[in-house]
Amino acid sequence: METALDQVNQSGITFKDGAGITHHYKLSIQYENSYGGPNNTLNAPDQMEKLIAAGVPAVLGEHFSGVTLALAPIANARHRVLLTPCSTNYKLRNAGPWVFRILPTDYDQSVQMARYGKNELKASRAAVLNIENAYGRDLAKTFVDTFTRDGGTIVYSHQFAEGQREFGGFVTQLLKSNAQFLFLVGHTQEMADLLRAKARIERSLGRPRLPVLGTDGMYDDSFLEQAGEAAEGIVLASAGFNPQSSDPVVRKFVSAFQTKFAKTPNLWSAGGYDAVHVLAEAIRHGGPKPEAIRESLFTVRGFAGATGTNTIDKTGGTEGKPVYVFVIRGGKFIQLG
Amino acid sequence: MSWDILREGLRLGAKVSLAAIPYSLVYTQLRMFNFAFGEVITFAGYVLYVLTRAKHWPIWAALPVALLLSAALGALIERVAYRRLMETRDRHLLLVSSIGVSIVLQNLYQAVFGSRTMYLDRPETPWFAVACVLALEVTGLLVLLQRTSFGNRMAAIASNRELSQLLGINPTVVYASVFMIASALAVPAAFFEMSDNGIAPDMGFQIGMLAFAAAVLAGMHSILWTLAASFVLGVVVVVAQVGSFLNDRLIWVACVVFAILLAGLRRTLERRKRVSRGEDRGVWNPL
Repeated sequence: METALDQVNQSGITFKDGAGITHHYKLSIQYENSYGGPNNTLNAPDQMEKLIAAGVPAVLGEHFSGVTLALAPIANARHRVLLTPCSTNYKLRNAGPWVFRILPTDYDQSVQMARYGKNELKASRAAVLNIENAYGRDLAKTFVDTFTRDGGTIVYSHQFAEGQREFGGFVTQLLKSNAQFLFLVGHTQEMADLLRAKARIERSLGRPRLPVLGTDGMYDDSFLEQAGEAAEGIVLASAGFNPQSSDPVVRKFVSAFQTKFAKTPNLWSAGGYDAVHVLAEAIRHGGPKPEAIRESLFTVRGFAGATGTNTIDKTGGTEGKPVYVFVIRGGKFIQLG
Repeated sequence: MSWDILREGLRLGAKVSLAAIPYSLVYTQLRMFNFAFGEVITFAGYVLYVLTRAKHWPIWAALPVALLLSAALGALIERVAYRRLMETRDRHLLLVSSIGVSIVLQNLYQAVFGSRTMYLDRPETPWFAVACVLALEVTGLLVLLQRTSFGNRMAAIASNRELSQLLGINPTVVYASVFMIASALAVPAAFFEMSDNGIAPDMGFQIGMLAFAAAVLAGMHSILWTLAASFVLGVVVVVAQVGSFLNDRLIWVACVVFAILLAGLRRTLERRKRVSRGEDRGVWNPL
């Protein structure tokens, strides 16, 4: 977000109002820590009220879908734009007229992976393990629905808790279940621990590695670091941001980010970058009043960003942004197809 | 229940018992819940991590250093947070102080190392290694407690502090030694836990909660009871993941509640015995 803010404020935002008067604006971001967790929505509403009291027209957030969903009613009631850079839950499609998304919903990721299991792995028996929260439940449900509709069966399905560290029982049972692959949804830490336990038990049983399919929760360098060798060969679907891409918008973002923070940005940084630019674009079009921003957001069409082309549709989401499939090889994400 | 599942349960039980035994040692000798022990485990883990990953020491060289440093941390905590409070009759003060130490240390780790989990990146530890270390630890402690003069002094102080002092036993020295021994035992607990799941600021706290449950399940009674209870708890946690009737989190809560009930029951029975023998005048003492 800071990277985008620097770029926007270099020239400022110029807006010509109805009377033909030209206004110049500079954006500033007030950060509040919602202490949000996937299931922790306790703090965020207070922080949002604090921001509204401070007079902000738009709130960029939250990271976790569960928290964004909890903030949506406040945005709608208090008439403030809520633009989430990272949340992907498909319930956000119907979260109200003031809620906007940068990334496509995760619905497509599950569908992609169910198809991948059926067509590429030629599998008819799948196992599902998901984290016990809105993100995990909804992705798992979509996967199960798609996979069974296409004629597959789910032979093993379980949820694990956030912060859980021991997975020996789950993995042992999973390996007995005769599944041809595992669909795994969660956050990096729990998934890494689970995969490490899985690799260990597979080795001790002398079994070949059971293929794993996953979602954007894995699309993070910290996951590669945490899961290490146990992540090798995993195939996952994620909304697109490829820091290696030769796209000029992506290159501009990546080099600015690297200059500022001395590391490579991930999908979530890219979402934040696009959110700030899209917001600036809306202000450029209709001025900085909340209602005006809301209306102009719907007019954003074909705006090139780091996560693809931003065209806001009727549900407040970005239309037609592709979902990519990656495989983890040699400790790196490699885009397939 | 198949052998694979039982083996996973025993594996977890072994890890829990490595953390629960030092816990129980401190309780049986000093009658206090040392909530900061989990943080000593985390400390031992970070020492191992820094020495092997950042300084590239071989693990056999890092382990003794970690033992010494953990013992030193135990002594430091005892000196700073517990010694003055040992004088008082009320063991609750010690409990609160240990929770304070736990919070301070956990935040310190987070500030120094960040919240991200880090890994030793070693080949996995065979489970018979865990079993050997555990057997060695239990035998060593039993010999220390039952066959040495140090063990006698500890037992004397645990049963009657004032009288032992009259006999010339210095309780301060004995208490500090107990803390140092228990803290040194954090090293094997840390080593086996982090070779599975890596190290994070709350690693010790997490395994410490299980260890606490195991120690309570054993009625905070003896080292062998704690050992048995740890294995029961390990198997229960793993079996609960297999069954679909309860999820992992519920079973932990259920275990803790069950354990507290069981411990309470034991205590009531023991006290009724004492009251009937006229040794207890019926003043309720919760710790």
